[in-house]
Amino acid sequence: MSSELVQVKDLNVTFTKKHGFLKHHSDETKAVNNVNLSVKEGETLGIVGESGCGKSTLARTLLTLQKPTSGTVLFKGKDIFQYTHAEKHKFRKDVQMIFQDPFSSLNPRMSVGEIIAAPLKAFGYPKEAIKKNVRTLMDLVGIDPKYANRLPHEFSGGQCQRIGIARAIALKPKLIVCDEPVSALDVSIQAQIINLLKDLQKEFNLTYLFISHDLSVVKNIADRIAVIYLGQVKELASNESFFTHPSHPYTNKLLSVIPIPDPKTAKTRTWTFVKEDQPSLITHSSGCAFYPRCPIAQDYCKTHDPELTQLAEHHDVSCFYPMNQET
Amino acid sequence: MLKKRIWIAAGILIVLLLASVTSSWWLPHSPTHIEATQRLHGISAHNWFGTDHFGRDVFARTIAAAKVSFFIGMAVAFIATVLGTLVGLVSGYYRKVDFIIMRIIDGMMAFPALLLALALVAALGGSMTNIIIALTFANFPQMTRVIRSAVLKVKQLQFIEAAVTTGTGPFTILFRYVLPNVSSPIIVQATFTFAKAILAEAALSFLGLGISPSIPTWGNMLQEAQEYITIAPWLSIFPGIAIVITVLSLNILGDGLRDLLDPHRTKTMQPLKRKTQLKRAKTESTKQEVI
Repeated sequence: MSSELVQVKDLNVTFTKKHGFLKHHSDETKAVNNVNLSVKEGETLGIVGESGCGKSTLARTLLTLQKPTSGTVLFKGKDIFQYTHAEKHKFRKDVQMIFQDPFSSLNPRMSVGEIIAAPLKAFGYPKEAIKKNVRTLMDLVGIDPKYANRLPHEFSGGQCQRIGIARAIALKPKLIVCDEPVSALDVSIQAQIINLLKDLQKEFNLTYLFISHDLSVVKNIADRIAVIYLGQVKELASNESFFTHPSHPYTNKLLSVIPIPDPKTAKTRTWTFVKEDQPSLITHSSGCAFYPRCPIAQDYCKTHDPELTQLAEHHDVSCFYPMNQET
Repeated sequence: MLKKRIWIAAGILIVLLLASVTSSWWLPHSPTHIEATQRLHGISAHNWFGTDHFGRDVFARTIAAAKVSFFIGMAVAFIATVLGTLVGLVSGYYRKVDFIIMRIIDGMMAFPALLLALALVAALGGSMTNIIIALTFANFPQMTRVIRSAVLKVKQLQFIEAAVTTGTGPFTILFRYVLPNVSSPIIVQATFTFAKAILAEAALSFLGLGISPSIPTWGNMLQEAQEYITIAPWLSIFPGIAIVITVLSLNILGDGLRDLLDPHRTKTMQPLKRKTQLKRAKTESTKQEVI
């Protein structure tokens, strides 16, 4: 087994919102709630969950854009929140991010060439090397280098995302955090971008943390998949085991709503909607977080909070009554 | 259409400025020359805009006054913009200093701008430098506020976060990422401040707190004219029109520049002109024939 590049240990990110006269009331939102994860070198860890479950907060915390309330993140065995200034600068070289919105993640006043050159400049590459690098990077992501002088708004969404990818790989990072990189794109463009990411992974031995709410996309790219619900990891399994034996009731719900391309098959399936809307993160009481919406909930779940436990090899789940177990 | 507007506005301002700067060489009358026999004469071929109560030529004075007004306006706009931009950038980007700076700005903004300038000029005395200092002081808080709010908006865009994650330093982020994206409010506010400073200088002179009466400015011309408004209206009409034209041109220029600098308008690749298109099509077809 290859070594672990990133280890997330008991990570908590809590947002407090003060309100009332003299701000004496405060609501706590646990965006990331006791998350333990590890990412191995060269693999792709997919993270799925519905909107507002804390996926992006987790990503931002991994890049030290967000300070954790408690817990640590180890990168190559070192706590990223204890870095000195110089270490942090080096860390920036090793960890990059690809953003969700291809347009707002590029500076509208900079030419595409300058955007891709920016990380190289920040790390003091000589001018000639930057020029050469930008050309090869643009070639690599499939954008003609002769367009280097154009501004981002002259490109389509898919092309802008390619530019964002070129910027992310410019410094030859170890880890790239992809925060819903394809959710803003058309389906046909999505496939192109996913294939590009896969090719780059092979070429540069990249490690991806791939965040998405689209299970079919994650199925395509991820080696392991973590399901997050209200800031907690509910299921963590290898790609194959995840789709053949989805054990957590929430995972089953998610899988049941993947659109089926064939309308005839689609007609025959039984819909099991999650009836209630996602409960607010603020009013989180004791017991399992998924209890209010769980179809197989028992009284026991109301008072006891399950922990992530190993069900089978490469398959952890946080549920007292897991479904579809391997026999 | 947009370019036309900008060119007209800029043209008016440039012509006025050049005419004023070179006025000592070409004006038929000196703006300060007193002709006691020619007092309060109306519009004539000899005195285009008439003469004032000392017999001085109003046309010469209006043109010469533009120099002073432009200088004050430009100086105030420049200093207030530079100061306001720097303070606004820092204040908008760094949350910690923001609170302190904003309370100071709040305090300055609590005074009406003109009143503050008036008090400062009264305290410092009415020289050109003091007027520039006073008007800068009165206009820069608003400038800071506008730029700070623009910075706050830009700061939360994703490309700033992207710059942080690629290891870009805070100095570069401020000046290469934030500043270019707040340039349109800066330009609008700068031209607006220019116009406001010209008006404020006129107001100060009108109230008798401006530059010494020996130097003609639009403000002190109006102030002197008010006594004679019923018998010699040309004394107030022409400097008034000069102020209106200048301020209007400045505002149009500011608006136009903002639209022009919008990155979504600029295209590095222009569509070919019809003629060139036809020409290319022709050469290509002849090429094919040869093959």
